[in-house]
Amino acid sequence: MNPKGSSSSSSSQSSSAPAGPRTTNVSRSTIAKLAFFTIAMICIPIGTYFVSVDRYFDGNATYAGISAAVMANVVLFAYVAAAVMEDSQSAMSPVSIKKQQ
Amino acid sequence: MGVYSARGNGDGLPVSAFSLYSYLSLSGLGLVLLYMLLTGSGEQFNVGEFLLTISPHMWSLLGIALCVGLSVGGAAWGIFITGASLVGGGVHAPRIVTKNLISIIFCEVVAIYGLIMAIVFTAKLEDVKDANVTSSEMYYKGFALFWAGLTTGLCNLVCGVSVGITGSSAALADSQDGQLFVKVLVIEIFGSIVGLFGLIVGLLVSGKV
Amino acid sequence: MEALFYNADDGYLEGIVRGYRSSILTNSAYINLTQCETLEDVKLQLSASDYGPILQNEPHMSTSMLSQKCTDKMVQEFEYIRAHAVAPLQQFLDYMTYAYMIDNVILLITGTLHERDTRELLDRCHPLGVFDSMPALCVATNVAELYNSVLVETPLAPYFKDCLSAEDLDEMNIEIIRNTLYKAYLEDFFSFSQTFGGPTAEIMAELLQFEADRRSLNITINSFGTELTKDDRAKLFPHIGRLYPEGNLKLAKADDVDQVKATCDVFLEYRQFFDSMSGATKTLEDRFFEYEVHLNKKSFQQQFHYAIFYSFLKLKEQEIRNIVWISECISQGQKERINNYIPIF
Repeated sequence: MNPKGSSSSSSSQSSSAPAGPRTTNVSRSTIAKLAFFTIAMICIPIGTYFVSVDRYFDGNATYAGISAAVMANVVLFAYVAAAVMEDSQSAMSPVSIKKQQ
Repeated sequence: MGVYSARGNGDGLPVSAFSLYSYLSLSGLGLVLLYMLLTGSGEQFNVGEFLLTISPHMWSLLGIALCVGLSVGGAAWGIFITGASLVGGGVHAPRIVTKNLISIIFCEVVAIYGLIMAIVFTAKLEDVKDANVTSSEMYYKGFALFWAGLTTGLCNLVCGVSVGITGSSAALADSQDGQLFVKVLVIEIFGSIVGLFGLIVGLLVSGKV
Repeated sequence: MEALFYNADDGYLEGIVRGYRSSILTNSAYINLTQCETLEDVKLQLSASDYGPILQNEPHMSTSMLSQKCTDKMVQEFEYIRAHAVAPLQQFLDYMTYAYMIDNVILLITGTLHERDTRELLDRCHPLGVFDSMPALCVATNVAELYNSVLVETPLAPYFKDCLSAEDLDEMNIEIIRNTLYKAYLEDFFSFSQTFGGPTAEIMAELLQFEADRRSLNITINSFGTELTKDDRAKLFPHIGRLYPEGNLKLAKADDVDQVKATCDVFLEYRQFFDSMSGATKTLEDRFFEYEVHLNKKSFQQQFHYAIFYSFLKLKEQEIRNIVWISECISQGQKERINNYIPIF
């Protein structure tokens, strides 16, 4: 928000942390990730249902439904894992940037 | 509920109008009932027969509609509660990264639950010939799908709202202090488990069909 | 229940206000500020905060300029919220500006009575309390004309109509007029905030009750040794505070500070205002401010209510008072009193 903020020993790191180009990169990858997981969230459970209902469960829709719900949760926690990984990466990077300065 | 919707016209007018209407319609209904009872035609008002004249197809399709409709309603409600706070909180702390959007995905999964259940229920639908449609087996099928759909739909509606409200708190907490996010996220995960309960019961109830 | 519908209209603004709140200077920022030797150092310290951009292009630092700029910044933030607000919140925000409006009208009345230059008066008005027809108000040559235009042009009309007549403006003490209006305003705002129910009503009750009690206490203490009769004094006390009714009755009969102290002893929170008054460096006013900051900080602990908008404005005002106090101490070289600011976060 405030370009001058990073020059002095500021108490509000939150506003001074993101620099211009880096934020755009991050947000683009964020949007891409969200779009990917949204599509996965729709396709994977429903795909699992239709693939498994005849192939594995012999037409029993209940078991296929359970497997679809499980897959939905797998996608969900994959997204959480992706978020945590990205978070720990970005927690590392500001330190390295500061060291370079 | 009334606090934010009934205000506006001032002086509590909508509330009193609402109660007036309900009194009027209730007493009107009572008059009709009494008239039918006292003129010897009270048996015409037969709830059981009315329910039985509804086709089992109607029941099962109603269940499917409620299941997916309420689930999507809950998910959408949750996303708008979270989204409004996310946008507001993002103005001061513009670091929208993947983790801020977890709440959105959590709401979304609730809609997917409803969709899966609707697909499962649809698989159990079948075309029956006219002679067969009023057999007790068909009635059971229709009622089971209706109530399974309603259970799943209501559970998902409440679950979506719950995840949405926690997600909104998570968004605001994160914009103040990034370390708080994981702690609120844990609560959000517990909220999203609630929707699974409805899904399991819905599967069990419809599984006997 | 308010969580279900609040965000439809006000969720975005709540997020914005919480963002503004996190830019309020922290304790460590104040410690850095108190280390400053000149006003240029103050500017340098503030450049890291949200005040940086507005001070950037100011070649000469002065306390009045600093206060002006900080107030402008606060007003700008408030106007942003006000512009984005819809129905009930908008009215709530309007209510908040009425307090400043009262101050402005009182200022104009005083100016008209003493026949001061109106343009100078307009500059001194608080920007939050500006209403469209304020310049027209200054054209009024006598008090009766002014009274009529206030009734027509401002939302303060009910307060004026019920409490004062045109003759009162001429005869009564200006402070009494101010307190009469403020009493009516507080009671009105209180009943308005109670219509929301839920956390808004709960938190606003606490905040406005304290505001009312503070005014009652101030009126009582300031009226000692003046010609204000005890009956008139009782009329100025708002009827919403925690002191009301028996505390107010006792205050109305009080003759010295000790009796005021005895009245407040009943309330745990108010007892501290008069504890060890003699030894401490803090004035009663500072203790009031401190408690107000505490209450306003507490309202940020809950979500989905309107009181944070009120609290944000109050905290921001306190921050401006702090900055002005510190820079005043620096420019006048009174370093020993510089720590009398009230830390917020």
